[in-house]
Amino acid sequence: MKKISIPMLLMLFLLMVSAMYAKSKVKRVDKVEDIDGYWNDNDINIVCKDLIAQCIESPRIAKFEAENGRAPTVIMGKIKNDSAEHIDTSIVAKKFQNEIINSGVLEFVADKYEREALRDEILDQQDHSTEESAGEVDAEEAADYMLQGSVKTDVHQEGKIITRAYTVTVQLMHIQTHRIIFSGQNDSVKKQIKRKKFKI
Amino acid sequence: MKKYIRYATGTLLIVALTFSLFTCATTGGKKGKELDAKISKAFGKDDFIECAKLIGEKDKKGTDIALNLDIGLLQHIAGDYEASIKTLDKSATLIDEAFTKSISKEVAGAMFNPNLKDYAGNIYEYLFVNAFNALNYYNAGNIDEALVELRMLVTKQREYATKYGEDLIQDLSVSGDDLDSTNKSLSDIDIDMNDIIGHAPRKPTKDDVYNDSAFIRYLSLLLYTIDNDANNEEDGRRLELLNTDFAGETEAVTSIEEKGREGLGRLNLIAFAGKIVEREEGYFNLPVPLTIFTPNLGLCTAAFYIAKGSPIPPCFGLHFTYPKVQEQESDLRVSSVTITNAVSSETGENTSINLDLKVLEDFDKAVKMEVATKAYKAFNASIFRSTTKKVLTLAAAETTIIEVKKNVDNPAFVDIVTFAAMPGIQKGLEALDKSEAPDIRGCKYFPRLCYAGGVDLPEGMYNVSVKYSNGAEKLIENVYVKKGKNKIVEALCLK
Repeated sequence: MKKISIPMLLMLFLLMVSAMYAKSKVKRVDKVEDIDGYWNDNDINIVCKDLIAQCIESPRIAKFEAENGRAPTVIMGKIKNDSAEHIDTSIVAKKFQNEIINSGVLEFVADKYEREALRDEILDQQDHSTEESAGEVDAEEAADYMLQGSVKTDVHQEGKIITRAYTVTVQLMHIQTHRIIFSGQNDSVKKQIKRKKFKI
Repeated sequence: MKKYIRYATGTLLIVALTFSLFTCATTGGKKGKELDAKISKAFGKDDFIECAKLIGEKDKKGTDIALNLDIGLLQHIAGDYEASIKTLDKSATLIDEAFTKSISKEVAGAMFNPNLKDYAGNIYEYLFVNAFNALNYYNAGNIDEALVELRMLVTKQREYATKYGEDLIQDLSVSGDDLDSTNKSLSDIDIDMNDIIGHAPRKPTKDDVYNDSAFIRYLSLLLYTIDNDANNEEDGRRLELLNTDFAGETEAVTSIEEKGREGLGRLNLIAFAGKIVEREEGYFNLPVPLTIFTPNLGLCTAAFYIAKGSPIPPCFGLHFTYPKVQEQESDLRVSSVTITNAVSSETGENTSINLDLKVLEDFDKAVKMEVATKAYKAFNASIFRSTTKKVLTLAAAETTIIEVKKNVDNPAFVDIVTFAAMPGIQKGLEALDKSEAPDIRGCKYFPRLCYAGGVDLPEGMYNVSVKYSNGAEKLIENVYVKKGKNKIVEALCLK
């Protein structure tokens, strides 16, 4: 029987080790896996789908359009993070806004941060663009309503089980009168995480 | 002849191997000590970013909880709030994950050295990581995320802190099997367990369990009021219970809306002074009375061997350890606070106010409470561990020597091998003592004293000067106090 030489064994060993420590592989996924039980992309999709449906079917919004001959104009306010997790609520806000714009139920104007950039551009145009093509200063369209909301969590632990329940609320408020013409809520995202026993 | 050499070598090798299993090297070494010296130097020069960077070099994997807390706190002290947020977020996750025990390391810790166990953080670290991160977010201008940290704290206090205390009080002793085994091992070498137990640290009570903080309650009261959330009666109530000096503070903070109608806002100062106390090793040594001679290696082992005609343990002592709190070296205190106009007010009057701060919390107390909850159990575990390690080592050596005696029919040779092995066994037993060390890990850069106080001021821009007893001054400039609003200002001096 042919003896396996030490250099060969060493090479085999090195090959094995390098295979173990190979570069990370990237795998594209269609659906985000719920790895740690915290708020994720799937939850945003579930919540936004439901709230947008509620908004589109709102009779008061339909009534505004009937009375005024146009869809209400809305400015995006803040989706406040009132939860016990660090959640980027701007993603929720943007997703909501995009879907609603595409549905045609509401018209959106730029939020206060986007307006700053637009106003700077208009002022720049007064100095540097032709009179015909330059935009008009102080000719912005005002919003009728502001969309605001919040994300809250209710967290409980009993033994090894942690339960997290999320409640997402959005409201359309009239800027002048403060009347609320739409209030939607979604509390369908509930997670139960089983952990290994807490031990000091 | 070859057989004799083989047995002699075998005996010595087995003995050496047995010791190497138990004498686990502690962290450090020359390189570690050099790094520690650099860290101390950077801290001494107030170069907290460099200090944090050097501590990062100690934690190659980035998973050490105590070191991550150190880095996060140093970044906070240096004013690098964004970096501190990331580090303390990571620390909080690591502490949370560490509650899942690493089984193999648990066994190793139980048997060999408690410092081999994964460090899961102490209860006050578990709470303070969120409190300091709340300050990070606030200082970085993000009140919403600061409140998220406080909500995480509420969950922790409700779900963990109370149960942690209950578990600690219930789980005081080693298991019955371990106790029986220890008793037997001790009686084999004529030691009465009662001689040892009398030297144990006192048993903890429920009063030693740290699960609430005046600092956290005060911070929560302020942040929720800033967020216009009036549902902070619980914080105010708990604050006044924890520190009666702050009995009127809730009213002063929450009545800010009314004060706003008079054109007043409130500046609230939180000032930290000194560095939190560290832990050190407490110990109890018990010499094992096996010899009529002085504990001289050759003499006592030879005498016993000759007297008894069989290999028996050489002279050694028992060394038991437990964590205890060091003497606090820092005497640093806030000596005065002066608030002046940064810009002249609308009325043209210049403000210069001396603000009287009171001690809100002494964080050393949290360390003392934490140590008090663990010292008794650690001492018992040390008795089991130290005794078992030594008895196992001696048993291994004794078995080997008996084997030599069985297989080699030259008594003189056996005597020589046995006698030659004894100094090594002695040294090995002494080395076991060195490996017996209590778990004294913890974050070193928490502050010691937290002072707090506030004053109502007309709307405007102010400078705040905080003077410390060591002559240091922290100047916080251009603090804008808005009418009808609370403003939080933080000052730190750790040395």
